[in-house]
Amino acid sequence: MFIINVNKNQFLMNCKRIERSLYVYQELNEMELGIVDQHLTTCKNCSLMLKKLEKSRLLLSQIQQAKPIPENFSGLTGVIMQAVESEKKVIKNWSITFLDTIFFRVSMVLVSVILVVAFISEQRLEQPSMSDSSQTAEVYLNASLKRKDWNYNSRRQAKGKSLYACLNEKSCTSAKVLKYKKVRI
Amino acid sequence: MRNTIDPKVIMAAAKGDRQAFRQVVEAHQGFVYSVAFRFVNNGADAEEITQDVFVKLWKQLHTYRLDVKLTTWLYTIVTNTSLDFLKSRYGKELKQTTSLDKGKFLYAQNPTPEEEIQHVELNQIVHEVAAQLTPKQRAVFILRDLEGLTPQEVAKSLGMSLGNVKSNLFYARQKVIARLDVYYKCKQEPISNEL
Repeated sequence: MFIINVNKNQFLMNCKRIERSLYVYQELNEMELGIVDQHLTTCKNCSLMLKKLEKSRLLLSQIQQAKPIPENFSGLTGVIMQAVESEKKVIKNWSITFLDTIFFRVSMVLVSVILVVAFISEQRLEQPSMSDSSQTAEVYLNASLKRKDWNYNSRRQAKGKSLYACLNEKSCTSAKVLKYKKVRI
Repeated sequence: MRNTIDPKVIMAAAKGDRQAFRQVVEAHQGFVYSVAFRFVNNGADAEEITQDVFVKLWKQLHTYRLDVKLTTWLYTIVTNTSLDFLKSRYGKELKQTTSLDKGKFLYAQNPTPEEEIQHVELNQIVHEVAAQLTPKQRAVFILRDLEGLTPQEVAKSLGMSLGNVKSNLFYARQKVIARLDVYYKCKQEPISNEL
């Protein structure tokens, strides 16, 4: 509604507000017209203003009645058709039309959502859960296995010392070294 | 809105029938040119805009739906194309110069030479004021006051609410009428001096 916050019972309207409506008098709806007309019966200034605006509207209607036309009507049609001929026409393609339908778009969205959900749920099944006691035990066993490996490797390292290195060390008790020491003595 | 054409012809044109499209052009080019001219006030530019409008229509006609009037669609295209044209560099230059191409008019009644001069003068004044309006005000004013569309048709063509149309129309008319008042006061003064 053009007249803002109009109360039907509001008799005395602000002239400024009415003046605004007078500019669009032809476009007012029935209710708005009723209010403005009621005001016009009591306000001389607004009535004069409406008359003045009507005169201006008549001038504008003179412009409206004189229609601009092209210099050469059929010539313009020819020019347009020539321009159209040089354009590649987008011919209706049913497969493209189907791909452009809302049904297709919605179904594609649904399929992708289902695939994402399926992928996420599968990932969750594969991942070990911290709260699962059996999984914790496995992790513990794995840790003890690693410790065994470490002990074994350190022993191998000790065994693997060269004969020369072992001769210089008194703590070395390798059988080969002891035999060698006996022979030398 | 006028210029109704058989929907079968439009559908044939949408499928690529050039002869059918020619019929569409012949039926609608008059009002498309008229609207374009109201925006640019220059015959050659109005013809260029008309050509652009129909090329756009040819490209987009395959998406046409029968529930929308073709004229409504065309009013939207011609308004947007004209505003884009005015926004372009050439359009801005055109604003600053007075064109000699005043165009050709089809009068409802045969006018006297005096009436014709007065009309050209009036048209020039209205165009000058319209050039100072915002694009929305200008579009609403041209479609409603110069082309005679109903407020509902204007609202549909420009994708506006009725309230918005009225509001833009108020500001446009306020400026145009103020300028027309000045013009008529100036015209009447020499007469009163002579008396």
